[in-house]
Amino acid sequence: MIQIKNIKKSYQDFLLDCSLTIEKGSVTGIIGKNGAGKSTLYKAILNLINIDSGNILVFNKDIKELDVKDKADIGVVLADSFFSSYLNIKDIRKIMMDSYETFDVTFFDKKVNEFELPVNKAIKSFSFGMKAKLKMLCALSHNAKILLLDEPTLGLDVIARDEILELLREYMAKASDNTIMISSHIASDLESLCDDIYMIDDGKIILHEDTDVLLSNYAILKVDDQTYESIDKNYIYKVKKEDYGYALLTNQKQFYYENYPKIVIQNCSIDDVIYMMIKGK
Amino acid sequence: MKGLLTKDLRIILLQKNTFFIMIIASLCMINVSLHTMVMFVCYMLCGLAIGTLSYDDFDNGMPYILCLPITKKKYIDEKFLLVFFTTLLGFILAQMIGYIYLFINNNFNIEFFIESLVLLPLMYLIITIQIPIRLKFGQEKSRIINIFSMIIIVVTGTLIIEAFAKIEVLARSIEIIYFILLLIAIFIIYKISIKIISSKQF
Repeated sequence: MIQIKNIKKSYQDFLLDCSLTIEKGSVTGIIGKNGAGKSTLYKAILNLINIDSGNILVFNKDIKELDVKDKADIGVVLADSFFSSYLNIKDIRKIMMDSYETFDVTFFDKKVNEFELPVNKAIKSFSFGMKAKLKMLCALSHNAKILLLDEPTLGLDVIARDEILELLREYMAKASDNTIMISSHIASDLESLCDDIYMIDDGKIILHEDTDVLLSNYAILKVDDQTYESIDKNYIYKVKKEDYGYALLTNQKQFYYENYPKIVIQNCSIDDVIYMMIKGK
Repeated sequence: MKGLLTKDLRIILLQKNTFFIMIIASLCMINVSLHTMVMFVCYMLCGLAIGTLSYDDFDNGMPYILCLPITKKKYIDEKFLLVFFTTLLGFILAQMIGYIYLFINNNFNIEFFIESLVLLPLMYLIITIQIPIRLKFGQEKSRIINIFSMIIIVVTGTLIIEAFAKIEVLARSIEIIYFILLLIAIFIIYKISIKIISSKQF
């Protein structure tokens, strides 16, 4: 659905340099700390910035060749951009109806009621959560084939985040071809939703793995100095010096379970993997 | 483009109070001259249209708007169309105010309409030049640049017209040359606007 091939985009003290692929029918997570390059990646895909080199294909077309019909098949949530905050939901409903032929007014109205969003109040008076829900509804209400979501749950409490993630699960259940590319720095949001995850740091992809594999095969081995010298390091991704010795990130948890039964093997979350990938050597 | 027009019309409607104040102010402009009133009404109404650029930019809205099913060129097309309609609306409104005034003063004449018509493309040019300036420099810096650009337009236009007026052959067709020059200038501004938005990074 989306192919990003060797793109480079440089700013004064930052370089985005990456390749990635978003498969049709999948939910792909992009995770990284603040300033890692997630939003820059989205802006490159949406042709909001000019890349220095490489190419980006969406629906097998170069992004510069996408016509209005192709753009109508893309639903977007941007972390820090939306309609003017002086407009209200009634205004936005009408704008969306006039912008998208496939806008589903019934779905939009139903969800606005469900979320109890005020239709006559200007968006500037909305809470963080209300605004995030409205942005998501705008992306979901025109039967897009792909959703590009940049930090859609930013700043939300756990209940609001769960409501939004539920909307995304419903979207994926609607059609097998529906595709989502979602970024977040909250790993727990992505763990429950994504099929695969790209980790980005300082503009580069540092890891790409299926979520199931990340959660089942990856582990942190906690070893002392002596054990570190003798342990098989063929399946060690990253090493970090700790007070007790060393923390080792591996993607072959089962190997170390079988061959080193006495060492401490800690199941890790995506956050743990990110931490080790960034802080480890 | 329909969605963009809907958005901008809804934004303009947010300022309906400004519209009523403008009508009252235009009545005061009649004391200066009818043509000043025409220019004032057109300029104020178009100001509401140009103001939609500020609303789009405010709160960093432009990236999201450009993600709608539009091209960057369509965004510019819509702004030029919006300004055209508001200029026309302002012109019609000014004509109504002007002719009511002339009727009350028993001075009904067709010259007012013809002379106002000459001002219409000039007003359109003066307003539309704000589009590329605002896109390039943002709202704050564009205020000063707008003043200089209007002075340049008026001075350049005057010099060209005066030069043509001295050439006897051209002097007879001065009105046609005037309209052609304005159309060329508007076309150039349109092309510059597209170039600016195409290369702008959001």
